[in-house]
Amino acid sequence: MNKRGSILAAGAVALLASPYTSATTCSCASVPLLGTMELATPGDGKWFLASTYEYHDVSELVSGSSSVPDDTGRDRVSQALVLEASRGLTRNWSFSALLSAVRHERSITGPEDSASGLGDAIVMLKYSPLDITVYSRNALTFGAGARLPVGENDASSNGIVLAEDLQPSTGAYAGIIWAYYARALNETAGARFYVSASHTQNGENDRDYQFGHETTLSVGGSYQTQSPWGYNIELLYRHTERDQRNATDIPNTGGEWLDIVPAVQYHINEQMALRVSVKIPLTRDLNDQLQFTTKYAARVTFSYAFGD
Amino acid sequence: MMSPHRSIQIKGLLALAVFSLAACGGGGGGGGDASNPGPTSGGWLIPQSEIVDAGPGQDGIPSVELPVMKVASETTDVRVNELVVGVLHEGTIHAYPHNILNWHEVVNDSINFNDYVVSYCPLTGSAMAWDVDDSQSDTEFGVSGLLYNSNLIMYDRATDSHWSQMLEQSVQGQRSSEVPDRIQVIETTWGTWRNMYPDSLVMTRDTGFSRDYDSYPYGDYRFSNELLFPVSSTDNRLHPKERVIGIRSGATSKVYQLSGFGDTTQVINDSFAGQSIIVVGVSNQDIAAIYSRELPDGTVLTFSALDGQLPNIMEDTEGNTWDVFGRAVSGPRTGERLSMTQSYTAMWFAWAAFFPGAEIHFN
Repeated sequence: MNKRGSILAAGAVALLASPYTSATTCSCASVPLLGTMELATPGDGKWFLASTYEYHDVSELVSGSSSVPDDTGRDRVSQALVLEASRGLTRNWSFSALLSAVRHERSITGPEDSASGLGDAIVMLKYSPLDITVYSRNALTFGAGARLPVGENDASSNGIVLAEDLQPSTGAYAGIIWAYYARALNETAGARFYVSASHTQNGENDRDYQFGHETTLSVGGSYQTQSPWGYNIELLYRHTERDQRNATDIPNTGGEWLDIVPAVQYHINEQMALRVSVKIPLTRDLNDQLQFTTKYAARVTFSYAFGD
Repeated sequence: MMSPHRSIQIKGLLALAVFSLAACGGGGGGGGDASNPGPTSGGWLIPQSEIVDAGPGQDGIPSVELPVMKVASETTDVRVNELVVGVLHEGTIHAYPHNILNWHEVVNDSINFNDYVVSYCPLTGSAMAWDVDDSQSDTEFGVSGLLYNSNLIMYDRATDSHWSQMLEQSVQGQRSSEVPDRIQVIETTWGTWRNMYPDSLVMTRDTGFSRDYDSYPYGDYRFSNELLFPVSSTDNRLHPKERVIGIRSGATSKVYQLSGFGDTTQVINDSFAGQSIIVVGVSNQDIAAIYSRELPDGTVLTFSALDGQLPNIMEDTEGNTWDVFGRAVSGPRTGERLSMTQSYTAMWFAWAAFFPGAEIHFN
């Protein structure tokens, strides 16, 4: 790592340690965490570092698939800071680790309830049998890993343990499988089409609570211009089973979401990039139940790649 | 709102309970007011570690203030088998359908400028009405978002004190240990209610909130064996969601399954904790009530069933006829009213969690 890279990495770590950073959505702590993971894999011996800030406004009230007026003045926000480090181990194998810090806030008429702290972490081993090169227009990567509850999941307010969706960490281990396919649409590989899928199998935490198992599928396209600017648009489908407590389904959890995620990326130089994206819901089907869900989410990522 | 005499009694019981527990070296445990461990570090009279943040937050489930009412005979959007909470206050009868209460849990209402609060906890199936018309403590209630033994904890907006619905007392805050003045509640099906009281006023769906009052928000919860939130103790003698009407005195209690009364009116001239009580119910109308049989003049009445004449439900050996609200509607005691007891309907698991070891009548 050169001197500039060291400073940036240190800065990212310092930002992650701040108590007022980080977080996830309400009942799906793993989703934004996994969603921040870089799709492409670093080459053999290369490093990829990224620091992502996410903001989720989780105050939209939806009944089944229809948005309804809340009328309670509810304000529910989650913020997250996610630090990612990936390393190419060989030409085909790489390793990624993500660590999150989270802040949840909930206020209606009473005093604000909030919790912040270290959230979950993800470790993942990836195998890439195909990569886009001058000889190939296709990239394919498979990953398998685990989500680790390294953070706090018994945060309390006035001595009462906060609801599961306000905890920085899920408090439970999870198994994750992940796959990514991309195809270059032109010889310079500036335009790409990609598909990504993941499944998270959640475990139960020490309060017998289990977040719903989750499956995602995203289809997107990216275009890198000759200038530093690049563009990306993605359709993200997410299906989450109902959360459970004591193996009993919790009715107003789970569902299906279809979001559109436009993004803009600016390459500061060959190693560093800044990326901004927003997640806008297109449709939701929340198991015919009344649920608060994401109104919108925004994400800013600074990334740095280096190595041999 | 609180009767000073009753408050002193409760405080005395609490002090005795705290002393007894300390003497035994015990603590924690169940929930009945007589078995409370005393204030915890947060000033709670119930075990703070067993209070659950259910997720919505304070007022995340919005209460309804002064609901729009409609005459029962003109109300067409309540299903015949839907349960309603009936309240007799200041000589006027109001009804509140469960399908609306499921989404709001607390209704702050008023009859003849006398304020009262109706609460219904869909997770424990318990409904209460409390008189809040007190010049010193006039307030509204809201949903705190907290649960104890899966049961609603309300808060009052004047002092932010917390109130356990099934314990029927304030359990934290400035008004801690206060006991509200109860108002008699009768629950039954809408079909039965409309036939009994066609001229009563019924809460309408015009609540000011967008909720699907035709849907039940908790899936198959009403009938399943499972609970959504932890409780302090369980008792598998009955199905956890069996509806029972229970009476309690301190930590002692007795329950009567609503399914046990039969499809014609049944009265049980019973005694409980030194009280002479009358328990009356009809299973297929989902209706039951418990009153004291002892009148203020010391007379202890004996009742027999009156079938098919709801709202009149029983008669006594003096020739009086009594309705479901415990009012003598004919006979020499016309206009008199039976005294209320500490009784209400709830799901069995909740009763068992709050009042462990309850005697079960229909075995």
